[in-house]
Amino acid sequence: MPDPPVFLCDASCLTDRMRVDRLAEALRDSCDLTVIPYACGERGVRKMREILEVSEASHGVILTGRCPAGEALGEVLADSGHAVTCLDVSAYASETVAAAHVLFRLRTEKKPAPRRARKVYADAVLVIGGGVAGVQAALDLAEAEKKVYLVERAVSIGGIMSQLDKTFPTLDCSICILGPKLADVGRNPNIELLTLTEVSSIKGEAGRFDVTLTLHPRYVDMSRCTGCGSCSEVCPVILPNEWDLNLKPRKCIHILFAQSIPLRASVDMNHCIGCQLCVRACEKEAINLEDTERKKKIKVGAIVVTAGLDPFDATKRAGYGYGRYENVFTNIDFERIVCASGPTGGSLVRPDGKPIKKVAFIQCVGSRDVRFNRYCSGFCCMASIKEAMLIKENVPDAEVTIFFNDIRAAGKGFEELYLRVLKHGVSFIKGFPSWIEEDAETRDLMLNFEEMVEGTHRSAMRVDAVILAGGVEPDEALAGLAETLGVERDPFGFLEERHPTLSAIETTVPGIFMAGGVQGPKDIPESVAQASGAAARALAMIHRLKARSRSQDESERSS
Amino acid sequence: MKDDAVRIGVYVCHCGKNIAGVIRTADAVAFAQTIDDVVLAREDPYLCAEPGQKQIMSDIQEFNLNRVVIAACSPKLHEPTFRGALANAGLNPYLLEMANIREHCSWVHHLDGPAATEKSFDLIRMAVAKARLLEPLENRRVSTHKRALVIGGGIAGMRAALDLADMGLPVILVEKSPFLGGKLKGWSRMHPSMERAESLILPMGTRVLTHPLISVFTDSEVTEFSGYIGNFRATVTQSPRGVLPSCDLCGQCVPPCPVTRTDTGEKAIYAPSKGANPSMMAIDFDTCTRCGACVEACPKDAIRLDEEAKEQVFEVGAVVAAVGFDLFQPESQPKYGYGALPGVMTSEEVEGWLRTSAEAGKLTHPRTGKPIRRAAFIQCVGSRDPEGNRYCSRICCMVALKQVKELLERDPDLAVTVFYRDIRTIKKEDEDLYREMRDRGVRFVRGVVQSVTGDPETPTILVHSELTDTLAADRADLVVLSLGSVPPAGRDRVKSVLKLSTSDDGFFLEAHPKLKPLDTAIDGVFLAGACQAPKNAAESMAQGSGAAARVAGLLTKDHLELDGIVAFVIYDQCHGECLLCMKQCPFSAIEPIVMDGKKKPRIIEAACKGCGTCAGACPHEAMQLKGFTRDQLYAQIDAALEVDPGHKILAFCCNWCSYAGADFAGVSRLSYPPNVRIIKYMCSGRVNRQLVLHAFEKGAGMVLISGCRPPGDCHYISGNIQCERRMRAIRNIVEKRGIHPDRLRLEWVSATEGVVFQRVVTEMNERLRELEAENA
Repeated sequence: MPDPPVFLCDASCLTDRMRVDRLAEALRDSCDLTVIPYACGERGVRKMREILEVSEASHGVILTGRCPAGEALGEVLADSGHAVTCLDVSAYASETVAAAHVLFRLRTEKKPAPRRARKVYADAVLVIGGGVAGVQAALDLAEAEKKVYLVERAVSIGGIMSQLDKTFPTLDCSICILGPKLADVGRNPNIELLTLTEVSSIKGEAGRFDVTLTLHPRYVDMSRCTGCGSCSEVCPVILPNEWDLNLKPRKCIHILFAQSIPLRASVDMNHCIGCQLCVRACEKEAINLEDTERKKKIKVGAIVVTAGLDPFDATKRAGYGYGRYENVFTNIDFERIVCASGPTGGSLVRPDGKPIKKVAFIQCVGSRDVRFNRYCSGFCCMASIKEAMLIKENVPDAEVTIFFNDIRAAGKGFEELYLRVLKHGVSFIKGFPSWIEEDAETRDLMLNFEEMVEGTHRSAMRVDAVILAGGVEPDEALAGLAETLGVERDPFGFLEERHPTLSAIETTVPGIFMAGGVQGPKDIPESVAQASGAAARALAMIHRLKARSRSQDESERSS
Repeated sequence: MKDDAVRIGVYVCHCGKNIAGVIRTADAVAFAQTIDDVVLAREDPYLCAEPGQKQIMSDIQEFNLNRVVIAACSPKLHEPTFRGALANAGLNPYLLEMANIREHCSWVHHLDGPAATEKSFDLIRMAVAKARLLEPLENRRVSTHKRALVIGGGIAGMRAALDLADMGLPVILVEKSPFLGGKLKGWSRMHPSMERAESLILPMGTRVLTHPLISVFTDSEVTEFSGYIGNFRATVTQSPRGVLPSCDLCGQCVPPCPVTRTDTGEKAIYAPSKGANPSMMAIDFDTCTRCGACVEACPKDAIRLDEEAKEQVFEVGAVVAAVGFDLFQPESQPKYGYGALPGVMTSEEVEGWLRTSAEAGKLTHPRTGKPIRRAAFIQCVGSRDPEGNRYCSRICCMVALKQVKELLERDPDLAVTVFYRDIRTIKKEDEDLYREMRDRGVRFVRGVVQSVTGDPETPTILVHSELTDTLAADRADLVVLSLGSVPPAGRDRVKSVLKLSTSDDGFFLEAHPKLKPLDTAIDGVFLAGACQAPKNAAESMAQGSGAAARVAGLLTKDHLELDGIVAFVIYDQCHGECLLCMKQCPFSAIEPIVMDGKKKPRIIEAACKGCGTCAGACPHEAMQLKGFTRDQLYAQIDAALEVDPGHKILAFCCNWCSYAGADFAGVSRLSYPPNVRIIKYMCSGRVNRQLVLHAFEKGAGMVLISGCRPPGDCHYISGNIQCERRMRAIRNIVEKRGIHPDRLRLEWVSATEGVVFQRVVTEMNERLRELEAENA
């Protein structure tokens, strides 16, 4: 095998650290070296292609600085059928040391394996997670005529957005805009929706993954159930409805919410007493309490991960009394309280029936806090501002205070909504209450805090309700899912990007993409845009692999 | 259908409490049941949810309904959903009419429930009246050009182009400047990897330039644009670059060039670096004196100073506009001392300086030449300004923190102060940088900077500190203004050529902030990157990919379906020969044919966009628009004026801007008088004498004609201009009929101008009251 041509990139990434002329000097006699001004530039690539074209070697080596161009350069040269390896040589102590290491690598480097047998690529795509990001990715992929498996762990798709009352900054109804998208998923012939399903194992590589799914029993035959609800009517087991944050009751056999997709009942087997009343009530004979777990094997070309986000568990901030005090809520609890379909029918009242007139929001609960999550959750300032606006619309004379550190209204129309709540008389206090006490009799809450304006002094405030802006964090299952998929996680527990700027919607495993909160906290518009983005990357990757395999076939046939 | 009696089902949606909290829906249902031909009326908590849809579908079959009226939200939101339900139940989807009792009723009359309930009766009556006359329509199937146009060669545009090309779709990429890379060309390093910005954009640009499916046009703009989804025609005009592709960037032309650009300090012939993409020099002809020194110096004979502009026309199926952003010009705010005090630099200038000077050690101010011991950053320059740009520019906090980090890497002893209002480090890895900078002793002062004055080289910054509520002064050898983002310089050009809308902040308006953040009101035209709102590089790239997916959804199919709303001719009524319809059609969708010895019009259905301007043009009402026929519009007018006509304001609103503007008034809960009745047409180009006179003959108190703002906002190029022209004549006739001229008003309302709609109808109502009082 002839020696590979070696290209030395003469660009700032390397010249920041090293003198290219000295390195070239040290290498020139020992390998087939060409110095390329800006190997990543158009002219550089054309030059390298010319050299690779006439070279007998099967691949080339590019010496670069610390730069992300390697992968992209690999792709560019692969477009013209050339293979290259990039070596970062900028970290060595001197040019001589670098040269020695390069020569060592050249001698020991394994030659790329000869062309393997033709690979058969799968055309379908697996989307994990049925929140707004997963739904958007599935719809975009289906629209581009791909078969999509949309896998959701819960009984219905919809995710966190389905629980929200309104969305910022336009204050339009959340389920009104999400509902039709969910219905589209249910109707789309290209999408196979698998609820109560999890990924149990995965094998293969980009373009051809073999995935095994675990389908948990629903105890209801989806093809027979019509979602009529007569089973729930007779079910004697009444449980708190976790979808309504336990603020409303539900039956053991139930439909999660009005816009659920699929709109089918499911049985919560942990609480079923086996009375069979529902079985007898169902005219369609759809209920089977003996239903069991099943496995399903699918072949997909790409995977889009969108699941794995949880609201911060506010009980961890013990001083704020969430879970102990009846009238301390989180943002999401409050979304249900203010929602017309929620437990109070949209009336602003506490569980004890007292109208909510005086409210305090506390921002950054669990976020920007080195004890919990040191990152900013990004959207909670706007969530509280929006909820403050909803309170003011419902109860114009309500007194609303927001305790904050920085108000982060950074998005289209966000600052404008912030200015609007200021105009409506919402007060903002910089700083956080240190602890909250509950009046045992009235269940009102006392906030103790330091006001920082005009010096620091201690202050207290009595309110009907406290709303904690809890932020989000990776959910418990994400670690397991990441391990199953073999993708890396970042220091915060979210999925790590292939490159934080260039490939923020790709995971560290080629062929596995991501969108939405699993990459880091984000709001709805950004999740939707990312989801479309991940769909595009999956489409492009599958097309490229297939096109390459075709052109490989053709060149083999012609040779 | 003709033999069958009309059987209408009416559905009233609660939309949770959005409607039912204001309107007594049970009364609306009871009212609907009293209208002729209504076989069934029901209410439902959420008609858009699956149970609601199922109810409609089963009713259609069980009760043999052949028309459906949905009284719910704006048809802009759910018309496709309900049409789908009709189709699934075997009914032609066009046999649906919606009464907008949310945006146009409960949300704008939320303070007056009884009036809203009364109004909902009228809206339902109007919808039923139109529904009675609806005819089944067929969608048109059109083929698509399997090629996309991407405008903008920054990271968003390049990403979109690459993803599309990798999906096998050919791409035309048009970049206004001579080089790819957008704003990042001038940037130093990128957080969080701290790699050179150049190393991120160059490989991308190279792939774009060498991809077999991408044709790149630098120095180019889209100057003409026409057509419809799947079938656009774009004219690309390429300005002279003055340099041929044989240039190999040797740079020998640069030293002899005698002139220097004032904006960047480069020579008139220039390239950003040896790695420029494309790899050839460019000439800034605004600066160039055409002296010819470079021509002589060029060893490749690659310079042509007499090159001329070239035009090329492309047929494309879809467009991605990724035209980026510009930075705020601080000269307009003298309080920051920019220009007057050499010590003051902009964040953009600092990026350029950091990019080109890599050495560590004590820093020297590139403009004053003085050592920098203290640096100060002023945030929100041109952002969050009550008198200027009210929006937050989202990226400047991070740009500043990253610049502080780069400066401290060079000189760890540098004293840095950041004057800020809120630090907005909202991405997962951003807060760490903020914390790191605090830990390294960077001083963060929360407050609003009042002025930068004093010593030109070491200016004094006067700040109102929020913490202490005092005025404090601070001096620095380097004052950095963290500039906000503004819409790109070429925005107006792109806006008028592509017929896009902008939001209040001046950036391009998406079709829906959450449902369709990458779509625009023009089907087949998409947005990506910072031209929609300020965003960082990773976000822009995700959007670039996202827009590519949206395009792929259109162009991977063999055919697209277009709606069935097209013009048709009633030849018995057509007198022939005048061909006013053909002359006023904005899309050349009408051709002459000879019939009974006379020239008469024929509609080219694939080219018809369904505006109805021809229907407005025809003096004999022989030209009609399917779905918006004369009889259907008149039926709505008659129904609206059935009760108390003299007290009613009839508002004719075009589908795209003014109807959406009225919707926006609803979304924003802007109250206006409840006697307004909105009738939708596709375009104000539909307006003619007969329509207006019919309304007054039926006793309308006031008539509002409304459409997209002229000249450029019209979604059918010139319908609004035709409307404006005809209105002059209509006014005269109205006056001659003895109708007070104030009773007829023409107002343009754009999709975001809910406030304008509110103001106009409120004024009209006041005037109506006055006129009523005068006549009483």
